[in-house]
Parts: sequence; C-alpha cells; structure tokens
Amino acid sequence: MAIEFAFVFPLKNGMHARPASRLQDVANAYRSRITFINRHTGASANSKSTLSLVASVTHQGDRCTLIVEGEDEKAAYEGMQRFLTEEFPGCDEELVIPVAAPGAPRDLPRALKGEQLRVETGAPVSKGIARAPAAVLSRRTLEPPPGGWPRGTDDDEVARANGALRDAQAKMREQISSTPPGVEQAILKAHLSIAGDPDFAARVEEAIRLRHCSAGEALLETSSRYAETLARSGSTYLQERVLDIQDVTSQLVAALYGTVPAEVQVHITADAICIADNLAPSQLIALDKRHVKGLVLAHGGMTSHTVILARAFGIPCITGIPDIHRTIPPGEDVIVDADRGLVIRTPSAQAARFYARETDKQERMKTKLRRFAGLPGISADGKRLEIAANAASPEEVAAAMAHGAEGIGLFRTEMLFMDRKEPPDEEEQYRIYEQVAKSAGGKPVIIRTLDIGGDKPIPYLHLPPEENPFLGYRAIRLYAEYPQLINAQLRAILRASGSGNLKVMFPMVCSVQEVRTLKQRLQELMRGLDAEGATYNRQIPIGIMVEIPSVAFLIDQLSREVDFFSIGSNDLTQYFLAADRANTKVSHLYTPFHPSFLRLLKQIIDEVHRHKKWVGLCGEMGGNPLAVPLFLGFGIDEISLAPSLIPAVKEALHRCAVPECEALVASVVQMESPESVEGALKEYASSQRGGALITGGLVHLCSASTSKEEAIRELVDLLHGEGRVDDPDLVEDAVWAREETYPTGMGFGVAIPHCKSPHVTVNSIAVLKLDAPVAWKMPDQDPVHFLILIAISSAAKGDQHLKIIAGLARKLMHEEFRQQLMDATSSQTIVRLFEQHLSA
Amino acid sequence: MKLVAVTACPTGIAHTYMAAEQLEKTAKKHGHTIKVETQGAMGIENELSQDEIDAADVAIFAVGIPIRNGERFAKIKIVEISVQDAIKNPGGVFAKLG
Repeated sequence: MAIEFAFVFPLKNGMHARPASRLQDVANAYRSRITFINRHTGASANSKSTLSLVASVTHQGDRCTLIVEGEDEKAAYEGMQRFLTEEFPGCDEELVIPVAAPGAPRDLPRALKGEQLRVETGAPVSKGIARAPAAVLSRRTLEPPPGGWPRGTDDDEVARANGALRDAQAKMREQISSTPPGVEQAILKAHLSIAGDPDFAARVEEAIRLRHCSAGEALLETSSRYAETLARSGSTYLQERVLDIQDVTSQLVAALYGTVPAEVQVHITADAICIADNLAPSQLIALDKRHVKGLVLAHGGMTSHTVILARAFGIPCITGIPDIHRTIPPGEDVIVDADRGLVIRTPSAQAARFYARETDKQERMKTKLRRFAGLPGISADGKRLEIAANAASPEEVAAAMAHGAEGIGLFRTEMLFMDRKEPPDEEEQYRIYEQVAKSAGGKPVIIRTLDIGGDKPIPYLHLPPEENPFLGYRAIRLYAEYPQLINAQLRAILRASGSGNLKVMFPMVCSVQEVRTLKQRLQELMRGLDAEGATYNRQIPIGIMVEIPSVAFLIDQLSREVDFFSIGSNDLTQYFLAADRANTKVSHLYTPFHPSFLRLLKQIIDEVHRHKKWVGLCGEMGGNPLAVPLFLGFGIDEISLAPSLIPAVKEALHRCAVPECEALVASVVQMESPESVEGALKEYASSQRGGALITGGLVHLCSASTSKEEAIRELVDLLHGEGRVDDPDLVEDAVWAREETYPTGMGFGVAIPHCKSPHVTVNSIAVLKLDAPVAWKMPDQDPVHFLILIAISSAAKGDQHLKIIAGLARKLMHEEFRQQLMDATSSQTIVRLFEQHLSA
Repeated sequence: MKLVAVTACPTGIAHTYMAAEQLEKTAKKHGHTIKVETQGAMGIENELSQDEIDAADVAIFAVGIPIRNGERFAKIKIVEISVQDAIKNPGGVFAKLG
C-alpha cells in the first residue's frame, strides 16, 4: 500500500546535483521504493538515483509527488516528509568543488613583445611552464561500428549490459582501493556512482526492450539522453558532468566489445605536450604521467575532473583555446606557459631562451625554498619553534613531510566522514590513522576527533538544520548522542597509536567536565582493548582545542586534565570578536591582528606555560609569515599550517631573533587598531631584509643577454629570485614605462633603468655586466654593457633609500667610481663598493 | 658667473640627481659658482630662495617635467635644456651661457 506526499518544488535553481544527491542520500536510508514524480512535466524519477532526479528537469513551483512503497514505507514516508519540509528548502547551493577562479590570460611578457610569435591564449588552470613536442590526442567518440554491434535476444542484451555494469563497478572498486585517498580516488568514486546508478541501468534495459537494440547501442543512447538533459540544465557544473558519463559509457562499451572502434589510441612514450579537444579523466589517468609535460584543451572548465586531476598531478594546463587540437600538428615544438595562459608554437630562439631562463629561475627559487624546508624550525638566535602541518589525508601527510613539516599539528578527520552514505567503520579508520602515523615517520601527529555539526551536512546523522550552527550542536557536543560513531573513532586512534607518535585532540571544549567525560570514555575503550589483548600507547597524550574563549580562563583547571593545548585561531577569532568572517558586512572586524586578540593569545600562552604544559596554534594565522615574529615573541611551542607555506614560514623564522620579537609583541599589544599592528609587522619584516639594498645574489657579472629586452628581464628576474618583487612581469612593465619616457642610458656604456612600483616588495639595486654590449635604442647613444637597476617600492615609507639612491646617481657622474664598478671581477667587490659609497 | 639651476625628471629617482651633480661639477670646472635645486621623489631639496635667484646671472632648467614654484624665476634669464643634455653634454650647456 503506497503512501503519497505532494509538494511544490521549492528551490529557485531547480533540481540540480546538490539537492538531488541530498535527496538520494536520505532516500537510500530506507528499503522502500521512493518515486519522484514531476506532475508538471510528467517526468518520473527514482529518488535513489541522482542522475535520474537531475534528469527530471524540475523547476521551482512545479507540483511534485513522492510515492513511497515498501516494507518500511511508514518510516520512509515520515523521514522523507520531514526532510522535504525542513531541510530540503536549504539545499539550493550549487554543488561545486572549490577551486580558484581561472586566471584570465595575461599578455606576453614585455621581453617577448617585439618577437614575431604564434601565440594562442586560453585560461591557465594549472600553473607551470613546459616545452615539448605536441601529441594530439583524440577524445573518445562513441559510435557503433558500421552495421552495428552483433545482437542477441533482448534478455541476452539486458544480461550483457548488466554484466558490463557489474564488472565495471568491480573494476572501479578495485582501482579505488589501490589508489591513495585524494583527487584521483574521489573521481573514481564519482564514476563508480554513475556505473552503480539504478536509473542508468533501468534506462539501458528500457532502451533494449523498447527498440530491441544491442547492449552497446542502448548504453550510447542512455548516455546521450543524459547528455542532452544536462546540456539543457543551464549549469556549467552539470554540463561538465556529461564528460564523466561519457567516460563511464565508453569504458562499458570497451569492456563489452574489446575496443571502442572510433577511438584513436595514443600512447605517450616520450615527453609531450598533450593537446586535445577534451580528455576523459580516465584517459589522463591511463597516460604515463612522467611524459605528460603539459596539457592544452579546447574545452574543459575549472571543475572538469580532467583539470582537477591535472592540478593534482602538477601538470601545467591551459583550457579554452577553440580548435587547438585541429590547428596544432602532432610533433610541433610547443611551449605551454600556464602561468600566463599562453601557448607558443614553434618558438623563436629568443622565446626559447626566455622560457629556458624562466624555468631555470623557478627551479632555483624552488631549490632555495627547499633548503629552508629541510632546516629545523629555529630562530636566528637559536630558539626552537616547531613548524608542523595541517592535513586531512595520509597523502597530504606525506606531502607535508616533503615540504619540511616537523609534525602534523592538526589532522582533520571530518573529510573521512563526508560525501558518503555511512560513516567509515573502525577498521577503515584504523588503517587510515595507521598510514598517517607511518607517513609521518615517527614525527608527532595530532589527530583531532570528529568536528562536525549543522554546517557540514552528514546525511546519515540526520542532524536538523540550525539557526546558528557555529554556536550549536557540533563536535564533542554530539558524542553523547552518537556513541558508536565516536567510540569507533577513538578505538581506531588508540589502535593506531602503536604505529607511531600519535596524540588525540578534542574540538570545541568549553569546560573541565567535558574533558573528564571524554577521558572516562577513553578509559573505558582502553579497558575494552585490554580485554581484546590489543597493543596501543596507553600514555597517548591528550589535548584540547582552544577555540571557545571560556577556555582562556580555565587553563589552570584544564592543565590538570590535559597534556597540551592547540589554539584554533580561526574559530577563536570569530567567537572572541563576535564577527562571522563569511559575512561580508562584518568580515572586516574579523582579524587575528586585533590588539585584543593578541592580548588573549599572550594570556593563553603565558598561562599554559605557567602550568608547565605546551601549546600550539593551528589556523590560518599560523601560515602568515607576517605573524611569525609574534609567535616567537609569544614563546608558543608549535604552529601548524598548510604544507605549501612551510618553507616561507621557516625562512621568516630564521630571520627573527627573540629579544626583538618580544619587544615587538610588547609594543603591538599596546596599539589601538589591527591596522597599526599590521603596519608595525610589515615594517619589521622589511627592516629585517631591507637593511641591504644590494646583495651578492643581485649582481651578475657575466651576463649572456643579447638585447636590451633580455637584459632588463634578467635584472628583474634577479630581484624575483631573491624574493624582492612579487610580480616580475608588472615590474618589468614599470621599468619599460620609464624607458619609454626617455631611455636611461647615461653614456660611458652605463644605463640605470629604474622604476617605482607596488610590486617591488623590498627597495633594491641589481647589477648586470654584459659579455657583449647591447644597443639602448637611441641612435646617438653608445651601446651599453653595464646596467644598474634601481627598484623602489611605492609602498615604502621614509626617504632613507631614496637618499641613498640619489647619492648613487651623483656618484655615477664621477669617472673614478664608474671605473671601479666596471673593473670589479666579483659580486662581492660590487656589493662592497656600493656599501662604501652609499652610506646615507 | 653666478648660476642657479633646477633639475627634475619624471620619476625623480636618479636623473634629477645625476644632472645636479654634473652641473655642479662642470660649473666648478668653468670657474662659476652654482646652486642646484633638485625636485625629485624626496620633494624639493637645496631650495633656492628668491634672494639667491635675484642675485644670479642666469638660471638653468634641466627638466623633463614642469617645475614647481616657477614664478620665482620671472625676472631672470632662463636656459632650458633636457635632463639628458645636462648629464651627457654639460660642456655644451655651459658654452651656450656665453
């Protein structure tokens, strides 16, 4: 006896992927058949199939009915009705994988503007530069062979199609289990959900029985019907999913008939820039990534899985160059500049030299930062500050170690619980935590227990939506209601604690009673493990997050219960200042540089140390090099940040000394505004390195540059390599803008190009001596072989450097000084000459 | 001769001061006295007073941009040259002063 529930479709954007997948998740909790009917269009969909729900093309205001039929129909009806009235209306947000917006293509750098180049421009979606011969890949096209595929009875064909779907799912599951957690695995899972979608299978069967066609043709027909529907959906995200459906379909057809006839197989056996109209994610996975140096696609948006994979593999990628796969012949020499969004075809010698230098420079810069990655977190005067990383998967832990993490200060476990139908069981979690402990190679790892709530939808918990999830039912506050969930997690952490240096940390603690309850739970679980004879670290250190301000006033009590504290600066800032950083009206109030917040931090850290415990900080503040002097001045024990930021933060730490930083802290906590605090921090940062206008790294005495363009670029790159400009292209433009007023050749073979730009971060002088003189583009001027670049920051405060440079300009009018400069044979001599003559 | 001069270039970072230095050096070589006001990125330095200007025989403007406070020179003979000329051919400039 079926139960019906009628409603008017509430969502402005219609039935798109996010509401459909939420509806599917809820429907899947019941055994009953739950059919969604759009009375307006007559479309009927299986509520347990996202594909089918999306394909119902339902708009706001459409009258709809849900028909529930099966053994648990009463419970299903109630659950669905509750979901549709209470939660569903809040599901309208587009389901997109968060990625940075694609950069617009940039101009050719100034140094190449005069060249006759064949350049194609597109959207740079994965950064990097590469040069290799083009390999043109065909996208799989889905067509039956002439005359069609052989065909049996309808029953035979249905059985074959279902068999192919089953085999494909088994194969995908196997691939998923052999792929480490991460982007590639997530994409394989998305494909598995298509191959396992009940509506997909039902449509294939329907096509066979209705048209008596082969399994292959039925698959193609089903795929193209979805494609048509999704193409009409008006959502870029859904349109990009068409490629995933086609990808799965072609894998199914290939499994059924051996090969896909119209597909041109390209194997890459040597370095290549791969060029294609679009590429299926599985095609990219199948290529030998060592040889895929770059990827250029005619189509492919930011959320296309192929592009997401390219970023995960670190392959430079440009998309959106129409017909590029038809215009570039295979084998053509191609440079992909995915920093700027340029594809340079058959580059000139000059362009090739430019990019070879650019690649060199990037390598040098990476090597330099890598040097810091490997150094311990220690200040200039020898004070230790542990630099740890935040991570959410074993894969990220390994990457963090490669970036020089001295531990994992925050391992978030929420991701393990999201985007799935049921929570991971103890065994699955145990394997993950064990892998995390091993990937960290004995370094400390802080595993934070589940921190979810109303703001992160976990369908199987059926949490009601809340007015204010950040002040509501989340994190440890849920544990009493979901004991199995937290017990499984804690047991998994305890069991993994034998494999490395694991610590456990609880989020959202606000009182000492909470900690006692959690510790009791741990004790009980330990007794259970003892009874089973399991081995684990009985002394596993226990810590809590400091994110609720009340904790700041309970450090004495809490120190009796826990081994360590970790300040969650993001939440603590927004709770303390009562400013939601996601709300643009008040986000300006959210800043960890608020003097009140700095006083709070100081108080917490001092209190913790007074009670002989240690304290770290995780949160975005930890990754801001500007804040490093504060951390050193506070005397905090550890900071934990995004892995990629570690080298820069270590570099900043290596420049700081404790007495200066303590003085800095003492002065900023007395300030009255976050702006003045930031100003003081910036001034301190530039005073640390800005003392020297010129260093050995800014002098090159045997330059092979052969033109004014190359020489100016080389000077700007010297600054870039030393971290003194943040955008070399724009600084180069500023130098040229000055040259165009009138060239800066001053005679005697010397030129002093110069600029004032916001992209100069530290006032600097760079020197280049050319092997052979170059024309400075003025007919009456001598060629130039000695260049002095003066770069001034337009944000620079004070006249000190301007005075020095004015002094330099005057000195250059004296032949003796010029001669000394030109006779110098080492960078050190040049630096010394400037130092002697330029003291202000 | 008693000379006064003003130097000023578009960015005011380098050429302003090179021209000033060159004019001072060359004037000395020719046995003239000179005071050079620079109008650069640090603002006006070595500023010429009305008395100093009135007492001079001639004013040299080595400029690539309009000068500030030009009204001070209403009554004096002005020789205007480019900044590059001041730097590269100071001898020629002084020859013009005749």
